[in-house]
Amino acid sequence: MPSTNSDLPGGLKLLIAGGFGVGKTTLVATVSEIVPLTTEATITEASRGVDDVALTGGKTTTTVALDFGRISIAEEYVLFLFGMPGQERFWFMWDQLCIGALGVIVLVDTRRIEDSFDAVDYFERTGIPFLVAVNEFEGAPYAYTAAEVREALQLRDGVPVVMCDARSRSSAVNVLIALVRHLQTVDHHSPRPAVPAGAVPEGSLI
Amino acid sequence: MTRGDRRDAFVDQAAGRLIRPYAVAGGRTAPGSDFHLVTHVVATGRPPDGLGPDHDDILTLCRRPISVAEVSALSGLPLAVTKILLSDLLGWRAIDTRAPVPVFDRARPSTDLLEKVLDALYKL
Repeated sequence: MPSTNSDLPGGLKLLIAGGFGVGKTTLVATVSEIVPLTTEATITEASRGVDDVALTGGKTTTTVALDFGRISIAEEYVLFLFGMPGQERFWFMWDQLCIGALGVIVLVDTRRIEDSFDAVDYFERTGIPFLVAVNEFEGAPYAYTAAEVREALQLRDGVPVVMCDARSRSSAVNVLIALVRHLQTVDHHSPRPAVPAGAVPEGSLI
Repeated sequence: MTRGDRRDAFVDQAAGRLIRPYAVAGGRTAPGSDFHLVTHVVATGRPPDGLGPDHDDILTLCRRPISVAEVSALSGLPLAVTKILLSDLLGWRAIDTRAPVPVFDRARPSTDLLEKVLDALYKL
């Protein structure tokens, strides 16, 4: 990058993953200091995670909407929260989204806990720090305990499980706090995606 | 014409976007520089002469420090097109950039950084 202006805030990225309809967008909206925004990533089948975005015509394009919010950290940083597209056909985006991310919240709905298996597997493989937040929906037939969720997801020791209500600001903020506290304790010896200077393919989505 | 008016001219309720993104980007498909979602940009205050409307719109959004993701969302342009236009502006020295904080570059995020994030979260 030819110019870097250190007077500008440093961008930080947190990701929120989870199945469709689990409350990712709600969580973003609850904690964001702005009305959540949406950016439109247009991609083609041919460009999956590789070189260009190929905005050329004649190819099948997929538009993925990424919802995000922001929280200013003093004057120095801005923390962005991105909802990760949960549908299976968008998983190829996850690698790119994870580059440079501080950590991940996997949001779980206990009525459809199986929707979270793949996300948990994915983040355990990549080594990116994450926690599981159980969004306690009203009307769920049974309130599960954190221990039951941990067992159902077969979580490794050390991955925190917190209960939350994504609509409640204090509850949602507590999830973020739990994640940052987790980041303070995790072992960072395993390699994980960094922000490679100039190494991301040109035209990459993220 | 305001920015909003012009953006409406791009989009038809039924047909969707009337001008294809690659037309806005002048046929280019890859930005020449490395912009991430959370790269910040700001106008240098030295706009080149004869900016086209899309570059002009984007530069207007950059009057205050703003992230690439926000520029895309607020301009209504797809992320890839936004990056191409920003890349042009950077080439013309009309904007400055700051790369995202490298949080996992072979090390844990700095204790100082995490403490600052925590402090800010506790104040929410």
